[in-house]
Amino acid sequence: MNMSRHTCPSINARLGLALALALALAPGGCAQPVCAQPDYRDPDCRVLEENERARLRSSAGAELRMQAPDADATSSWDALGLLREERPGEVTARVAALGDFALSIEPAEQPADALELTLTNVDPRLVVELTRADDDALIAVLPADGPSLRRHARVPLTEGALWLRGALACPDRFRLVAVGDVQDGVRHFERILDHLELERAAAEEAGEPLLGLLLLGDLTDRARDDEFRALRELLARAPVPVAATPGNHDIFRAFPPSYNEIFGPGSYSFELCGARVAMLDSGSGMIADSVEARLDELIARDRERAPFLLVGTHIPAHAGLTGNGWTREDQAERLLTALAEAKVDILLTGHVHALREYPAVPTPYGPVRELIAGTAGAAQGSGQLDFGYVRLSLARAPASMEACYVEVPPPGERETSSDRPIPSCAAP
Amino acid sequence: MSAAARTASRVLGSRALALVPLSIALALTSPQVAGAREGPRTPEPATAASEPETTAQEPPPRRGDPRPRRGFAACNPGSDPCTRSRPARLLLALTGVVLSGAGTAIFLTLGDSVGAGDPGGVMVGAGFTALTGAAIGSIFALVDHDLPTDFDRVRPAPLELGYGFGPRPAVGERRPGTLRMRFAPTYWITPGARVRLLGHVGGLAGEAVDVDPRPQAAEPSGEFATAQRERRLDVGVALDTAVALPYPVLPATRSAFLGRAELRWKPEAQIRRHTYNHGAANEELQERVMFLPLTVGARWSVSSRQRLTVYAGPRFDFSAHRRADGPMRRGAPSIGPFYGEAWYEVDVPLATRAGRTRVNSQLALGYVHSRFDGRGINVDAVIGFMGPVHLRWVTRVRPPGARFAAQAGAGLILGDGATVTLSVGVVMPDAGAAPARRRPSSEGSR
Repeated sequence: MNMSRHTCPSINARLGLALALALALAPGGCAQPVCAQPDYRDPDCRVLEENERARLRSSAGAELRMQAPDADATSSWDALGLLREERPGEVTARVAALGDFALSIEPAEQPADALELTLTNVDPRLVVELTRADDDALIAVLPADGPSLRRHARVPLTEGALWLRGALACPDRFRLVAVGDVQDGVRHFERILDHLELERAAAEEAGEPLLGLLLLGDLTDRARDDEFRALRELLARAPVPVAATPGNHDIFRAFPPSYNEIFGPGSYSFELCGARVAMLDSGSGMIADSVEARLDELIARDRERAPFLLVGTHIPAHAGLTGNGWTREDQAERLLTALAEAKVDILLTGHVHALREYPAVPTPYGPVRELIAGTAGAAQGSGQLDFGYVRLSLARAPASMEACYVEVPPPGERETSSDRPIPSCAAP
Repeated sequence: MSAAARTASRVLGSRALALVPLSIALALTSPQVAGAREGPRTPEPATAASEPETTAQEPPPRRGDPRPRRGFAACNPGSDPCTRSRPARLLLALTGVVLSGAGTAIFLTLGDSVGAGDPGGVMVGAGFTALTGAAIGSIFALVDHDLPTDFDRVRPAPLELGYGFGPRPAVGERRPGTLRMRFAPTYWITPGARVRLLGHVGGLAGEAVDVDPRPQAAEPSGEFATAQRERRLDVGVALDTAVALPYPVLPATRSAFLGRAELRWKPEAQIRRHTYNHGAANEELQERVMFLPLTVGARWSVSSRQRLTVYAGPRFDFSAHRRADGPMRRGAPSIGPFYGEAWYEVDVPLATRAGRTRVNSQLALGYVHSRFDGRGINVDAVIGFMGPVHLRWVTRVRPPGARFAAQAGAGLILGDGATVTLSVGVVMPDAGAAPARRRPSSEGSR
């Protein structure tokens, strides 16, 4: 009897303790703004970061903002590039998108006379003009420096608000190349970049110029700053502009946001000569909730003007060969559905260190074509090595898109003849 | 060493949880306790633990030897037929190591190319559960000496309400928890075979609100603008069929007496309906269905109080979508990632005196290889490979002679953060074969 009496309070105490523990562990405390204490493994924190880095108040007394090419107001901005002040009065703007771009420059009160501005990752084909915002008067044209992807200008800050716009005279046919997963295979990737010079020259000769490289994540192996810097130096040798998005190997550190510091945005979209291209940061096995909410906006297009829709992510949305690498399976499914509804032409991904194609991933709106091109250099195990890139050939009239694979074998190995899911391209 | 083990059990009690490695070593190697018999016993009538849960009546006196065992391979006290839990746990731990190793080898070999049908993740998770379960089980065995469990041990409540706390919201966000009504009625086909209808209906306990953290999209007040609102309906149904194997499976002269086993088949379907809202005209419905028709499993009762249960099987996904008032469009099925579960349960009888309120608890550690609900363990750059880990404690309270009992639990789900869960349920009698004739496996079906 006594024992029983002692047992019950003891049990109640244990239950009470368990409940108290549960409540203590339950969410509580004051609500704070999103990423007020950032953890850059959270994709929404990277969204905040990439947008913050797309505007800059320079010490020269001007605010610079990356803008959509068709923007005409300086009141907002878009995460379409990365702005850095290297030294006082010297700003570098890395354009994230391929093709057209815009940058607004709004002098503050009592600005300096001028601002030294360097543009990087800009196609030498682009006509870049500096105009006055109020009357569109042309102030200067920034000439290309040979094949360099850099432009430089001394921007006068005494002219009021300015626009710097780059416009590409679009060819009827053009090429893009896509590849992902460099990781620790930097040497292989260097060879691929060298090969792209051949590709660029051959494309030019064929009348379908190469307009850019889509880099599909896992640019580094351990997300270290020195790896990102080394890759930035390497990409400075690329013969064409690069549009990148991070992979799981690039974003797994809580701090700092190294990818965003070096490459700018991970989730953005742009239009390139009739192709809507959306790059989505899926490195965390998910996309940011805010990007999920904007999916329709990011892939929206005027089909007359942009007959093609290309989407690049790192982790394939289809489970197929990845055992479903998305932690948020609901988002992967929603992405595939949205892409099918928008009649996507191709979903380009990396993550799998191989070349694979899923020509018809089922969705409620019909099949989606998913092409995995994780062949930039990352380790491929003990099987047949296969490094190279995917070439996309697009023609606007009539609209057509073809994908083929260009192998860039490592030294000591000739081109392999293994069966591939897509045809091998004619050598450039 | 034996004295050390006994001392540890007396002194540490449940606090021994903090000394996992030492305790494993003690439990796996501790030699004999005075008075225990060696070798298996010949089969005798059912023990208390083999009584069905539905009777809620006092069991007959145990007829196994209740004295503490002595040798590493000695039978558990009161086990009848003999169950040798120490070698069983050692075997379980080794199996866990082998499974984890093999699964890791698959990961290392295939890397990011692990396919939807590759069982590497399931093997790692099951191996982890087996190894950790053996460790935890060894600690508890130091305290309870692997005595038979109570006849009224914790099993899924036939009717239960569960709540999972949502993550802490940021300013402008709403992160409601998940509320689910679960049911799990059991029907006994024969004393050794039962089916249990498992299911749940629920979803987000409110509307989730995400904000858009782009500064340029912020409200004039400075707060982040709303990005989207989501409501979610969760429905799941499964038919868990369990058939006890004879024990021992082999003739008594050839059996190692390492515990009872069951075979299982659990066809299952899970449905999630997400309703997203970006404004009145932009409502859309995404429906996801995970269909698992071929999930098979097994249970190994390492002791009367401890058991490992695993399930695995292929998965098929279906997706449907509807915009605003448009028609629902359904896609073709696709093969989803290989599905698996592994659970290790430890019964902890707290008050089992005859004629008094019975209080039984259970500690369960589980791994679910599925990210269907968006949870998974991500470590370093290893993202998107593993499912969540579950840890829960459930307590059942049954007044003397009552046909109904109450069951409450608290748990933790680790994966994409930590989620605290609470549950309360009512335990009702099972249906089916008459209790007097029923004899589920003594280390029992759940």
